[in-house]
Amino acid sequence: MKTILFVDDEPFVLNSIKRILRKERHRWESHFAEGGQAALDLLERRSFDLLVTDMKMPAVDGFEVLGTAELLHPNMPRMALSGYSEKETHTKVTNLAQRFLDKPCESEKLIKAIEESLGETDRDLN
Amino acid sequence: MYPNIGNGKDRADRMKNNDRSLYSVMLQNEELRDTLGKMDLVLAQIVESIVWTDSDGKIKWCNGSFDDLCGKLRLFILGNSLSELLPLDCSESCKEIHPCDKLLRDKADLDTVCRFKRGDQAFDLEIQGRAFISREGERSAVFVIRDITRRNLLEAQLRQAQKLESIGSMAAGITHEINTPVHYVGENLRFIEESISDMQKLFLKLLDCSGKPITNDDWPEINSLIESIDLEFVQEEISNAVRESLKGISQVANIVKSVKEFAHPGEPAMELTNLNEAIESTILLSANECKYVADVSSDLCPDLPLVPCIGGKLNQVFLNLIVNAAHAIGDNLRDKKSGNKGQIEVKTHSKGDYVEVEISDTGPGIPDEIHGKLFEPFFTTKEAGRGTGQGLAIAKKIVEQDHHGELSFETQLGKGTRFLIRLPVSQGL
Repeated sequence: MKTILFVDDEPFVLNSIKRILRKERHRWESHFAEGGQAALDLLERRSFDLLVTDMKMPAVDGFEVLGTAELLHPNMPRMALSGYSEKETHTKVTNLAQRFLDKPCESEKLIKAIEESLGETDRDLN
Repeated sequence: MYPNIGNGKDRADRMKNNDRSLYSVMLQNEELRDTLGKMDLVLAQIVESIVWTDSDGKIKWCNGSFDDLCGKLRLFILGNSLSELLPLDCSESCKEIHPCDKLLRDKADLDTVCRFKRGDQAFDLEIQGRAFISREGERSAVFVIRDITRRNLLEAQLRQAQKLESIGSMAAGITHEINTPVHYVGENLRFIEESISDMQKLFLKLLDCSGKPITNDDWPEINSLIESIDLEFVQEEISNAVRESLKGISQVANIVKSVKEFAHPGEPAMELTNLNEAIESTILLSANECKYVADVSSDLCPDLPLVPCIGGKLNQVFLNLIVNAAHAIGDNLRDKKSGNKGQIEVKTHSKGDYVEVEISDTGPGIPDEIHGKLFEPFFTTKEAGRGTGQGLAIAKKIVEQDHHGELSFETQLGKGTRFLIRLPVSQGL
């Protein structure tokens, strides 16, 4: 089973992701970190198959989470999911993450992006 | 008896002297005329109106600019009273005393700005005046009057521009504040939609069995359906999803309401305002600017009297001060590479004839050398693009000129800064 770590400082966002991914529970194991610091603590201990993080968070922000993840687990794909729509942030994120999804984002789009990041659509196509 | 005019030579000398003195008097007269002519010319060309009145306020003399200001010929000005030629623009109930009468009554130097009317037109005048007693012992007064209508208009436009700037700089933050709840509300609704359709499958299965008792043969199918839709999870999470979504929606509604209150569309008019409410909506609006660098707390006096103010303008002052506090703390955290959030505290107090609004931060404080420049327009320590240095200058003008209040600050390097706004509870003049 593929493991995914979701990071957001807003617990309601994590809850909504947990609900929407419940039906995918047989293929994906979701983990949740409330805030950047919690994410760093988890990433120090283990790796995941995919990291999905919010960008704007107090204290430890998404840039720090993505940067640390790159150092600790260079092969783990990284995705940003953020309500911040500034061009500047976009450019900066693309250096650290392979994908950037804007909030609000439909669950179909999120699921498709996760599948692509995990290389699952490629396998389906083959 | 004629004065002794002496002998012939003396007489000739004396006549020469007389001629000379006559000539010098003529010269002096000519010089005087020349000087007077120049003075007249200069006074006529001065843009400010200059008016000289007697102790009753009747005009003894004025310059050309005053003729233009009144829109009347000099003939109809001289001897008339200044307060009738330049009536104040205020309603019947307005008890404001005409500055001219005030000067003649109080005999203290006058320096004021008032709105006057001429026909349908209103205009703002800055008036300075001084009462004095002439050499002949006559009481009179001189006024210098400057038309600042255009300047006021430009300043109003500048204020509007600054307001747009502060809304613009927050637009990204407000978008984020709205996008987050919209995101999870949308996700929750999709979850609820899917859950309902799953539950319907179960209901239909159970309805199939209705009328006849569920047999052992039915259970495996029912159980596998229950398992596949994860009934326990769905049951629990539907109500959570609804509850969290409702909170999200009310958060969005509050933000939208704050934006509306902040923008305060319509004619800017003095009205009795609940400052606590205004402050709460401003705090909500600035939440995204602040929450990543500081905890914002408020301690609002529950018995705060309503204060006459122009709501939209004062919100702009609160917002500027709160956002400045957040920027000060944020820059400080970045410089010190510290992860500890700062504090912003907003307090209101009732102090008899005044209310006070206090906005304090745990930022780096303001260095001594810039204390004097803090309220100067276009003075900023922020990098280009983050502020035009209008915020505090306009805040001071809004508090002190529009509301007859005071805006001051106390600061301690390394400790923080506290801005204090004092507003009179009654605006009567």
